[in-house]
Amino acid sequence: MQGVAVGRAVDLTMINGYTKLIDELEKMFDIKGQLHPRDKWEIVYTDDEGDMMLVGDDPWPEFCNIVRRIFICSSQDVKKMRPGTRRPMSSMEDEVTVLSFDSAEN
Amino acid sequence: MDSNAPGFLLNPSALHSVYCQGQGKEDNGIIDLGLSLRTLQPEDYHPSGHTVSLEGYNDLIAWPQDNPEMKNLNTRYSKLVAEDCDEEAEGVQSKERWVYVKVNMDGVVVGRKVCMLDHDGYSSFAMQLEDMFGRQTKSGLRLFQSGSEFSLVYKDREENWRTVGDVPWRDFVECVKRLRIVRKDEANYPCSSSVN
Repeated sequence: MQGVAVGRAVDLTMINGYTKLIDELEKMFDIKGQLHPRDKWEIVYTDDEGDMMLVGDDPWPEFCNIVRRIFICSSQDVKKMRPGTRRPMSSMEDEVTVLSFDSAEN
Repeated sequence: MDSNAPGFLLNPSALHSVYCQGQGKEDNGIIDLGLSLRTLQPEDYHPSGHTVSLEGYNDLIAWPQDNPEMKNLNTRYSKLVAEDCDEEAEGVQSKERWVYVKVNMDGVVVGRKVCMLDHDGYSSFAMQLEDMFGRQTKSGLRLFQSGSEFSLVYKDREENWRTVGDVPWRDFVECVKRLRIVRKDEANYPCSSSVN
């Protein structure tokens, strides 16, 4: 997976919560069991205000409203990012575009 | 009795109050006996202006908590939705956004969100921040403690950055829009380009 930057899309209207989202991401990138523990990978997202936040803190419906892009980053690379970074190093990370009613209209 | 029958059939006086409240005005040829849970949802009545008294129904109706889609919600978030169901959509939306407040920390790219309703005071709030961000430091945040390398600031409704802790907790919860953990040796409030 490292070094492969393939854009994928996930339809949040088909997912009813964070557990299912992580299951879907694990399936999508063939990393079964590696995302849930949260030790090797960080799942972050950029929201409608352009901020990068950790996935999981918001109530699920609120998350669906504000999420624009999801990034799966290695925990080490997250530490290397400089503050003010709006996107992770795209050549190393996998990026997921989020499909929802709002983002589909953007 | 059918095991699927709604519970409110056991409360005939409540059923009567629903039946009498302007059901006929929106009549589209269908007589609504109030037997369906769907007709008692508050949002169905808002557009027409008819309000249904929900007294006595709160214990009988399946509120959104039972909806599988809502099971992932923080409990307090569910209560907030139930309490605000009579407000304008805009007001509800803005209030919900402020209950979950963004927290950023100097030197850390990924921000977190905290629910202000989870806490009843500054000390439990500081503990959650310690839990979220403490690992980014050598000796912990130790917010509000003397000798700590960090201080906590917040952006209020007027878009001013202020020090956390000066006002009573409840006042703080009402006006906080955003939070930032800053290193004390950097002294100034976050007005650099890295901060929104």
